[in-house]
Amino acid sequence: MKLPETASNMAHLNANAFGAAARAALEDQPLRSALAKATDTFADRRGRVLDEMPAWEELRTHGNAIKAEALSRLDHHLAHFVREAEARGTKVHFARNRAEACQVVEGLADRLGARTIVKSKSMVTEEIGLNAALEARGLEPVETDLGEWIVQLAGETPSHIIVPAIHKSKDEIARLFQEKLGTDGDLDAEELTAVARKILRGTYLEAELGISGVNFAIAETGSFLVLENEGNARLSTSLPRVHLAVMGLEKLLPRWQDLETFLRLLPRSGTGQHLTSYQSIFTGPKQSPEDEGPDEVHVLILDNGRSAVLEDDVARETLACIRCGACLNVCPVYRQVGGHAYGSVYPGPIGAIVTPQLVGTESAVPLPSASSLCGACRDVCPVKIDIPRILLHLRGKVVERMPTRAPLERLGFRMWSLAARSPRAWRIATRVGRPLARLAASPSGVGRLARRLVPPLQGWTHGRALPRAAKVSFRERYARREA
Amino acid sequence: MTSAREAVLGAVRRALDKVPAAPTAAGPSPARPDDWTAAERVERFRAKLEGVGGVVHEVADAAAAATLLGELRDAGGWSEVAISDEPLVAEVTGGCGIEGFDGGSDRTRLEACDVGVTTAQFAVAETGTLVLLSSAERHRLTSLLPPVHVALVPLERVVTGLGDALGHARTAGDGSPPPLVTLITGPSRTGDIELQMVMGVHGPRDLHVILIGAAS
Repeated sequence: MKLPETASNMAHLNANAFGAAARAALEDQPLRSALAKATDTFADRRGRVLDEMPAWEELRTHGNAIKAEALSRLDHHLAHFVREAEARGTKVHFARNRAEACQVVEGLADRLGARTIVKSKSMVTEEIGLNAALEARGLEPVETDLGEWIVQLAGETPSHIIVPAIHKSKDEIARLFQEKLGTDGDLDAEELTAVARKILRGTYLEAELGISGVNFAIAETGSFLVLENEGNARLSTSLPRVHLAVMGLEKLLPRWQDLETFLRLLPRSGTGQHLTSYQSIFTGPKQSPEDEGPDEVHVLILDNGRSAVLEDDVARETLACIRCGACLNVCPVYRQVGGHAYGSVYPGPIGAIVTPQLVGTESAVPLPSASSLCGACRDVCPVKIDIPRILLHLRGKVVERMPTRAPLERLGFRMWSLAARSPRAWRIATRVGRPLARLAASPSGVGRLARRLVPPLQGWTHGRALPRAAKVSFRERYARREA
Repeated sequence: MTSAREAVLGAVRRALDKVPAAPTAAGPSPARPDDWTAAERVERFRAKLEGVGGVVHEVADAAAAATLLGELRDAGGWSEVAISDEPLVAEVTGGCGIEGFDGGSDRTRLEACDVGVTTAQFAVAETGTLVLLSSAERHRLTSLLPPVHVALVPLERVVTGLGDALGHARTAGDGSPPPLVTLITGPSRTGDIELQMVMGVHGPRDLHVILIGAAS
C-alpha cells in the first residue's frame, strides 16, 4: 500500500501494525499489571479530586467554549500572539512540517555553539523526532523529566502521556541504571530518583540551550505556560542562556483570564491533583534589572498537518485537546494494550483521532477502529471532545479513501442490505442462513473448522463463544400462534 | 519562496474561511471561591499546602519569624543559606544571625547551599499556592536550586483565589505580565517509578511557608 506524504509527519510511526502489536501486548502479563495499576490509580485520584469540585460540569463547559472560540478564529489569535510576544522580546518561529521544525532548532543550536541541550517533557518534540535529528548532528539532547530520562536511557519511546515509563518496573529501571550508569542493581525508587537528580544537576549547569513544550499560550499577552511536578522544566528554562519552547499551533487561548479555568481542568484530569507542584508562565526574556533567567526566549509554532484539521467541521475539536491523558486511563482498549501498541506518539482514544489526522488515514487505518465506542473518553474529557463521534467520522474516511479494503465485509453488508430491503428476501435469507449459523456455532468438527477459517468469525470468536441461533425464529413462532 | 510564517498563517486562514466565529467565552472562571475572611484564608491555605507535603508556620512578626528560622536551621543543620534581595528576607535571616549568600551569578555556590530563603508576592488560599513574580524579587534560582525552600509571606499577601493572584500578575511587569510568573504548590515530586511518590526529584524536597502577622 502506498502511504500519503503526510506519513512522514510523525517520528517512529507504526500505527498500521496496531493489530499485531495489540495481540503481543495482551500476552505481556507484567505490562498488563502495570497498566491496570496505573490507569486505576489515576482514574481513582481523579474521581476523588472531582468530588471536591461541584462546579466541574460548568468548568468543562467553559473550557469547551474557550477552545471553540480560540479554534474558530485561530488565524486571528495566532497573529495576536505573535505581535504581543515579539513586542516583549520573544523570538517567534514557524514550521510547516517536521523537517522545518527540526531545522529551526538545529539552526538555533548551531548559532549558540550548543552541545548539551536539556529538554523538559514535550509530546510535540517526540512527534517531530527532535532528539534523533539533534543527535545526528552530534548534539546531545537530554530528557530531564524522570520518566522521559529513563525511557531515553533505555532507547525506547514513552508509553503514556503523563507517565512515560509506565511500562517499566522498578527492578527493570534499577537494572537499566546498573548497566548504563554503573549503580548498584537493587536500588529502590528513592535511590534511583536521587541518582537522576545528581546526574542531571550537572547537565542543567552545562547546557547552553533549554527546550520545553507549551501547555497553553495566551494571545493577548504573548505568554505561554508550562505545568509540571518535578521542577525539571523550571531548571531547563532558568539555567541555560537560551530557552526555546515548541508548540503545536492549536495551543492558543485568547485571554490571560482563560488560564484560570484550564488550571482547574488540567491537573485534576491528568494526575488527579488540584494543582501540579509548579506552573511557569513565561513572557519574554529577563528585563533589567533582573539578572536571572535566559537572555533569549524563542517560541516555535508547528503546523505539521494541524491546519488541515481546522477545515473539518466534525473533527476540528480534536485540536481542543489539552493532553491530560484522562481518556487513556478509562479506555477499555488502552487499559489492556498500553501506549506502544498504537504505534504513535499519541496513544489511547485521543491518539486514535489525532494520529490519523496528522499522518493521513491510510497511515493509521486500524486506529479509528481500536475502540468499542463505549464513550468513557468523551465523559471524562475536560473540554468535552466527542471522541466516539470523530472515531466514526474517521472510519467513514477510511472506507471512502480505500474502496478496495475488506472486500468480504463489503460483500456481507451488501447482501444484508439486499435482504433487509424486502420482507420476502429477509424470510428467505434467514431460512437459509439460520441452519448455517447454527452449524458454525455448533461444537462439531465442521463448526470448529468454520470458526477457524471464515474470516469474520476468526477474529470475533478468538476470545468469545459464538451464540447459537434458535431453531425456530420469532417470526415463525408468532405466525404459528396467530394460526 | 514564502516564509514558513506566511505559509502557516495563510493555511490557517484558508482553513477557517467558511467557518463562522464561535461566540466569545470571555468571563470569570466558574468555581471561583467567594471572598473569605483572613482567618478562613489562612486555614484553607494551610490545609491545601500541607495536603501536598508543604509545611505552614504562623508567626506574629518578623522578629518571631527570625526565631523560628533559627530553630529550623538548628534542626536541619543548615550551614549555607541562599537569600533573595527582598528587605524582609535580610531582616529575618539577619535576625537569627544567618549570613545569607546573595549571589545568583555564582551558580555552583548557590547549588551547594542547604536552603534558599525568599518571599512570595502572593499566597493563594484556594489552592495552597505561592506566586513568585520575577519583576518583584530576585528569587528564580534561590527558590529552586537548594534542597529546602523557605518562603516568608506577610499575611496581607494571602489572597482568596487563583484568579485574584493571576489578575495582579497580569499587569505586574509595567502593565504586562513579568518575564516569569512561578506558581508553587508543594515540594518537587515525581511518581514516575511505579507511581511511588518521591519528593525532591529536581527541585526542593522541603517547602516551608512562614506566614507573618498571624493573630496568634
